[in-house]
Order: sequence, then C-alpha cells, then structure tokens
Amino acid sequence: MNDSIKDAFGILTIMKALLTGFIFSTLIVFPFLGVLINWMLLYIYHAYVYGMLIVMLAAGWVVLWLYFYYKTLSMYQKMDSATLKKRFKSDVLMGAAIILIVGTIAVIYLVPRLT
Amino acid sequence: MREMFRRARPYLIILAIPYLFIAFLLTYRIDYRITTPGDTSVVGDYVELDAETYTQQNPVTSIYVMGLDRVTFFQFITSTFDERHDISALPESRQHVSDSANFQSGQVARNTSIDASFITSLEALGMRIEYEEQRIVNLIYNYAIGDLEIGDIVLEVNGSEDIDEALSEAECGEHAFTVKRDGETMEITQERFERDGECVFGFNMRTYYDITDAEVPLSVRGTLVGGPSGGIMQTLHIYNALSEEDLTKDIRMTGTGTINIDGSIGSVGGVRQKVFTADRKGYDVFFVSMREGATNDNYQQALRAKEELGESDLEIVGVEHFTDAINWLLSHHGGSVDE
Repeated sequence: MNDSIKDAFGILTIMKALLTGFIFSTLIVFPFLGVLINWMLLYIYHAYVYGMLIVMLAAGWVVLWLYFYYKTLSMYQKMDSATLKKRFKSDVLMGAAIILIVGTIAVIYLVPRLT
Repeated sequence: MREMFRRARPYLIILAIPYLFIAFLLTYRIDYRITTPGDTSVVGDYVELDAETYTQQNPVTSIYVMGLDRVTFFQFITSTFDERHDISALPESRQHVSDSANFQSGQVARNTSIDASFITSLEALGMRIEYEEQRIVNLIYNYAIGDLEIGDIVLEVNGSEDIDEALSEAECGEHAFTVKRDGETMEITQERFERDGECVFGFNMRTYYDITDAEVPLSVRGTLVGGPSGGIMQTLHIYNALSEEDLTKDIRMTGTGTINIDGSIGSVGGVRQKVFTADRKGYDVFFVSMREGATNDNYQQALRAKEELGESDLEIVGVEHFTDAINWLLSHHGGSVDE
C-alpha cells in the first residue's frame, strides 16, 4: 500500500475502503460468476471458453474493487483528481494484468488435466 | 463506508428483490439429475504403461458426459431449453449421497475399471499378471453410522473373510470390520441400524482387483472424470499399445462400456449424450455395449441417438466382448479375424 495514502488517511480508513470495495464489487460480480459456473457445468465441453470468461470476470472484479476503493478514499478526504486517476489506472492495469496472465495460465494448465 | 451505503440505499432497496431472486435461482438445489454432453479424453494421457509401447496412428479415446445431481433451478431451467440434455428426478437413494461421496465413488469406479482393463488386456496378450479379488467400499450414504470410508478395502467382517455373507447375516447393531486404508490394516466398527423397517448399513461395495504382480507396470493419473464407463476403451488402448499391429490406423474411435475381467462389456448411462459428443468431435467409430433383447440396450439407445442427429458419419458398433471390437477393427483394416 502506498505510504503517503497510509499517512494521509490511516490504516483504518484504508481497511474500510478495501472492505467497501470488496462488498460492492462482490455484489455486482456474484450473479455473473454464478451464471458462468452454472453454465460451465452444463456445457463442460466449452470449459476453455467458460474458464477464460471467469478469468476475465475476476479481472473485472479487481477493477471494480479498486474503483470502489478509490471512490471511498476520495470521500474521506479530497484528493487531487489527476493523482487519483493516475493511481487508479496504474493499480487497475497491474491488478487486471496479473489476474489475466495467472488465470490464463491456470486455465490452459488445469482444463486438460482435470477432464 | 456508511456514507457509501447511504448514498446507494435507494438503488440497493430496488435491486434487492430481483438480486435475491437471481441468487436463489443460481444456488438453490433441487432433487433432479441432468445429463449433458461432455467431452473425450485420450486414454494414453491418464493410463501410462512403463514399458516399450508401439506407436498408434490415432489415439484411443474414452468419452464422458456430465451427470449433475441436485442441480440448481438455473441449470434446470437452462436444460429444459436444450434438447440434448436429459432431465430426470433424482432417485430416492441418490438423494442421500453428498457431492464429496459422489465424486469419491466415481474415482473408485474409475480406478477399479482401469485395473480390470489392465488385467483383461494383459491376459488377452498372454502376459504375466497376478491379482487378488477383494471388496472395496464404493459408496457411503450420508445416513450411515460408523468409521468406514469410501475406498476402504474390506478384509473381514466380524472375523469372517466371506464379506458378502457376513454382511447379509449381520443383525442390527455394531459390527467389527477389518479394512485396508492407504495401505494400512485397521479395525473399525460400523453400525447396522433400522431404517424404514429394515436393518441397513448404508454403504455399497464393488469388486476390486488388487494387482500383486504384472509383466508391465501401470500408472494412472488422476482426473476429475469418474465412473467405470471407460472400460472398453481403456482395454483397447492397453491392448493396442502392447501389440505390434496398430488397431487404430486411420480410424478415429471412441466408445463406452464397462469391462469385466472375462472381457465382457457392461452397459452404462448417458449413451445418448455420448453419441452427441462423439459426433460433435468428428469421430468415425463409436463402440458401445450390446445386449440383445435387454431393456435399455445401449446399442439401441446409441442408434436412436444417431437418428436424432440426422446426417452423421459416425458408425455405431455394438460389442458384447472386447474382442468383438478388436475383430471389427482387424476386419476393417482387411486383417484376419480370429474367430
């Protein structure tokens, strides 16, 4: 976590923002994830397609989580809009990229080994 | 956070009812079973022979379908719109099987089936193989009382090695079992108790072949696919891999049927969906168990499924014994047929 943010808002605020982000993003993502898992079990021969859709959804989850996280932070204290956007963009890019890369590798590795 | 919730409250209230309804559809499970088309697996990817094997032009593949027990409302609704799916009420006995027990049971069935395939093919090739017939716990219902676990090899019941007789003669009450679990022999107790007016243990067993010596070592890789229906194709794979003459040549083959160590092929479920899967994957030949005159004969089921497909190049071949499949392949390649 960025030290300047920690100093500015305190660890409790950051934890609150993280929790808010988690709750909101999970509430949004859950129905989509449920549909994908339900369909994946019914159409197992498209396991790669559904596996990748789940990975993309997980990346979307991270994006939403960060969005609500920064949104909450900005409500506690006015933040410079440009700085906020910059931080959000760099975190989103990194988070989504990690999820997409790791998820894709996992799907390619696991699907043929599990079926 | 409170501020965020306060701001979003009107939207949350409006969305709460449909949201909960969708969550209910996606998670609440009902006592129905859905069978859907699955996929194929190359047998050589999970059955490995530690010996010199001969090259196969085409791999022998087994086929699986998805059998979902206690489906969600959402899956039920989705499947009613897909003609390739079969929906049936879950039998009363299956309602007492947990997902974990169901999975483990499938793995036990798969592993015993691979052992039976191994024995059948090595004996057919005249290779050395020694084994002992034992009884293995295949399924435990969630109402069973005792220490038995799925996969336990039952050696003695109340001091008797005649397991089936000892179980049938056992009265209601606790009984002593000697089992082998993870290679370790142990004493445990299992209760036979009254349920719906009769004494029951609440578990099933199947025959397990403990291979003690074999000319060719075998190793099996675990997958999530369970069940014994790959028997015929596993047998064909092992037989073909250890035979000089390639049976596959230009034929892309798959099939379904259990294998008994005398080489006979038993019937299985989900044949309709397996035919759909084989056709979708472009296979040439589909071997299937045939029992003339039997109700729900797999061969007849497969022919009916092929009719549903309309135009299809898939050839359905009914077999009673695994040598029927070998003979069919040899005759197809213009080779001699061993009568």
